[in-house]
Amino acid sequence: MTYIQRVRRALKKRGFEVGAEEFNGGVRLTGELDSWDDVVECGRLAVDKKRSRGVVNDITLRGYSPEPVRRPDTRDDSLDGYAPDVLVIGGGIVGTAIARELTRYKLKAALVEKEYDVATAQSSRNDGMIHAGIDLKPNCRKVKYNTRGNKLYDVLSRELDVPIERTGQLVFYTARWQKLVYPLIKLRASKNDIPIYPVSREKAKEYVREPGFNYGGFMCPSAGAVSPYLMSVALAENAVKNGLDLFVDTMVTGMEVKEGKIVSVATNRGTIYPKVVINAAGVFSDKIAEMARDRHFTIHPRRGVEAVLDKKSYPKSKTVLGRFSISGSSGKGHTKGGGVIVTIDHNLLLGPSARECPERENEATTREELDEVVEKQTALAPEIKRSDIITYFAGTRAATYEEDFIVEVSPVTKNFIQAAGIQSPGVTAAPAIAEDVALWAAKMISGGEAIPNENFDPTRKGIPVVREMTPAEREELIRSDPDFGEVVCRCEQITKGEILAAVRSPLKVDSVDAVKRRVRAGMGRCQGGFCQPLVVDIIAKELGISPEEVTKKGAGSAVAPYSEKGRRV
Amino acid sequence: MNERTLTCIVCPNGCLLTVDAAPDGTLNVGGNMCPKGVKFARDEIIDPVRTFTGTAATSFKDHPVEPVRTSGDVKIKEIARLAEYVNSLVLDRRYSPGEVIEENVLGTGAALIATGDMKEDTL
Amino acid sequence: MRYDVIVIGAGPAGLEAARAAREAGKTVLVIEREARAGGILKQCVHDGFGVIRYGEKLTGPEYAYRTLTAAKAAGAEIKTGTFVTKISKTADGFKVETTSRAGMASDESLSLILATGCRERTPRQVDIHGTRPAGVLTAGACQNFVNLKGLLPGKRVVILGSGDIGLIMARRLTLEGAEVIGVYEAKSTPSGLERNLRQCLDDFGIPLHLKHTVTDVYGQKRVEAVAVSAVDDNMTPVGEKTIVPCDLLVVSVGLIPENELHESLGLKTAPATKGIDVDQYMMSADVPGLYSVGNALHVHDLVDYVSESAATAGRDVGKRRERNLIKTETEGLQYVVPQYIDASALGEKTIFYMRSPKYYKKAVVRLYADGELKQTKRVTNVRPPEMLRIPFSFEAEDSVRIVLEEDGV
Repeated sequence: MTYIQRVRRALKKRGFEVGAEEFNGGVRLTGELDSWDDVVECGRLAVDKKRSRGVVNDITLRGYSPEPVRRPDTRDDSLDGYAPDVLVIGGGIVGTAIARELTRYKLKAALVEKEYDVATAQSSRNDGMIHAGIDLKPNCRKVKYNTRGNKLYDVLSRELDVPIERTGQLVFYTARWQKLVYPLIKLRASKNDIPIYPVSREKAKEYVREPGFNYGGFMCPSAGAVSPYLMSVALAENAVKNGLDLFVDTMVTGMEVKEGKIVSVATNRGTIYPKVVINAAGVFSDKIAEMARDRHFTIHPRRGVEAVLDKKSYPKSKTVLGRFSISGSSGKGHTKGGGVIVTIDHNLLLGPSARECPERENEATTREELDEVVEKQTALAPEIKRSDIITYFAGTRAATYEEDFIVEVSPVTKNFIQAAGIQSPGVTAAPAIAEDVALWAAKMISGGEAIPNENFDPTRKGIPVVREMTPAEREELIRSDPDFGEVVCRCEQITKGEILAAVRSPLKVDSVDAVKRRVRAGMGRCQGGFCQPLVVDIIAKELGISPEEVTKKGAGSAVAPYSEKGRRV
Repeated sequence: MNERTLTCIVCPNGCLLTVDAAPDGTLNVGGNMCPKGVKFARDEIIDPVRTFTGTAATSFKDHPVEPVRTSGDVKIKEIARLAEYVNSLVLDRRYSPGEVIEENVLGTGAALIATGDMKEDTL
Repeated sequence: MRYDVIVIGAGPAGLEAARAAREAGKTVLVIEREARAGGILKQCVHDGFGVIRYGEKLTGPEYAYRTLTAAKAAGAEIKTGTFVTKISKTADGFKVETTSRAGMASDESLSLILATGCRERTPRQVDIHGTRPAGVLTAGACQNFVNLKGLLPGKRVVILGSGDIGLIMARRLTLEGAEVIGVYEAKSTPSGLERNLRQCLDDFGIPLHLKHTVTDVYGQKRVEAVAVSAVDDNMTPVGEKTIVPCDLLVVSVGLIPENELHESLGLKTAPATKGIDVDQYMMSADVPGLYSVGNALHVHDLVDYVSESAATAGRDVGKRRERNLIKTETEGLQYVVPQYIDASALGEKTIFYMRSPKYYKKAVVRLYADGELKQTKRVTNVRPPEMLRIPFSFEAEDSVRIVLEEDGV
């Protein structure tokens, strides 16, 4: 029986009346169903990692018309005719990491991002965990890149001046028998090159005292925390320093492909003529793949909601607490069940949840999902009060049906490289993915060995974090620039100097959220209630624009758009 | 007999006033803790008054608007017109609290006065 | 430098405490994080301040100006643009470390008055979901944009919360040319003062929807609409959601005392007030020499009472060495301040500030000392949003008890 026949039979057996045809080395499903869960289930039934390149699921949801893609307002021809060697599509952590790696080579690299800033989607909307990778199945791309990426973070942190913390992850058994599985876990950990050691019942009790968690567990010391958006910003800034052309508000709308080669890439700012195109488009990576004529997977967006707690609820231990789950640990599950995570900025984070949904950019939270997250995670940390939650957010993971990363030189379209379907542990894996992808691209450009960029400078200086300095260090900084003495965001103690440094940094920073992403102004317990008007003023003055032009998150999102007073009579 | 209840807004005591309109048109006010309540109730029924407060634009970048109010009560029906007028003003000099910007503003009988200290930096 | 007292916060509470302490001959330093003194009053351009204290209806800026002028005249030293990074206990007092454009500094004092005010609860703390576009502001932030910057953050406005700032903003936004579609309140009774309901909503025909809340925000870049839903008695949304198109959601859902500084001294936050427990001079029951005044102690309804209690604290600085604290027991009240009485320093009058948990047309407040009924005060139209201020004259040795109950039961 062929693979396609097997898929058809599996679908039929489950009563799904949908079509399955061979397509681009894999299978393409077509039809219309009444429930999104069924659509996703069909995709899952069609997976065969050995015999198929992947599942393209074109089954539609009856009565559902997809939300239009969020588009930039900009429309000009400023990029028309622009011809970089390599074009990266997508400014998330994967795209910016690739862009930085590209600048290690002698080539002209460019990156386009449709949003107003880098790292606005999935790369800002995750828990910032540097995963140990213990829950990943051996021999998949996820574990390969996660293990390598985890190791790269120490160097990256030093070079880019972005703090990381190796907090470790403690996985609790939730039943006595689970302890028996430890030898298997240990074996797999050593295969995957992941450090791990058992934690006794007594020791585990120091972390969680709740009944149901008193069977001990194991520790993964290489797990850690990073600010995923700060890391993306730093990667992008360093890449720009080394010659990257970065364009925000720039969206790829189509491609011209001739004789198995991308000739040009259409954008809202004109047509670009790159020699090599890299797909790092996150939840839209299958759409980009389709434009490049090598679609062999489908993104089925998976939403996750996470809650951020007041720093006052900072726990005694920074260790990530999670619970053992057999499906998660066998690599079959699609979420690690979330956990209680301490961010690099020392907020507690609860979540994430996991829910399949047809919308790719639905970043709206719902009360139901938040309740679910709170209920589940407070079992591990019952001292957490709902009133300690200062904010919550939702993100969409770019899951493929194979639930593995796609990191490959396209066998179909010659000058196309994909870093697609990157979901958790994408933050950890990104630096490692970037190494491979950039090297492949550099070889394509040179036609042989990659040629290094002799002027590449791997270092970037971050914005001083005033609140973490000693009084003597602060004094010295204030002497050199008094703006670092003026506190603007009272909750997070962010100074005017830090905010100005963000506005003056190498990427375009002209919105309240772009400032927030870089220096945390407005991320504290008052959520910007006090500092937002001040931040708006600082941005306006620095950029020489009127305060009513300052946006929250890019064009069309002015914070206080009307200024109509004082039209003399 | 026509009875109405009103909450007095003159002071924070917030007396719950009862107003009886006798057939001859006279108003009897009860529930008040002070004489201001009687005046308030009568005004409120016949022709309500309020103090207008708002802001006027200035020509100073460090102090883009100046809070202003009327020196005393004006009729409620004048408030919209006052708001429109005040919103159209641009103050060209720096005022101190209590300084008169315009006497008998829009013929209301009340003066428009500055209430913020523009001599200090706002921002 | 070393002072008799350092006051943190130059709003109405801090300035008045500083004035009173200075007039009692103490050396005083006031530290203010904002560029200008005056606190939140600077942006409260509406009137109604000072009716009790000055017998006049002043605007916030006028009230602030008077208070500031008086504090300056008394000789209080005020450092603006100065942010406290750390407070700590010393052998005989307190150390306050600050940062400002002039650099880092450290000052010491025998007494310390915390007058840090309060902050607003955020939209997310009342379970508003949906997207996060521009055009969702707390009432205070909205007030800042409108009243200090002259900017209008939206023209079609939904207000959540019938607290005073929400009501005041309904009127302000209307006068600035915006259309306020309605005010939604999850509780079954309004949260703001009666007078504000009258002059901010009724005067302008703005509808108030009780037992309704905003559940979701729609819109990517700017708010395009909100979903409104009826709520049950637990404030949980029930029934169908109604979509209300708007471009601005203003959220006025309560104030929380800024309690970070006292918590950094290891002091617990009292659940009822969200401030610390104090005696009748606003001195901490736990740390002698530490005072908390104004909205940092408990959220007041009127600034006049803020000034009054702050002055009480200011005058007390350095006066008492020993205290005989007895706890103020209560019955039928949300809370009472002071939570403790220094029985060894009872003056002619002791003022109690309290809030009722429910509405009474007629009620009575009784004070018992050492088990005996000492005084009875009748009050009318008691509403939870409105603070009760009751002066009692009494002596006590080992117990004080305050009871609020319906009159004539």
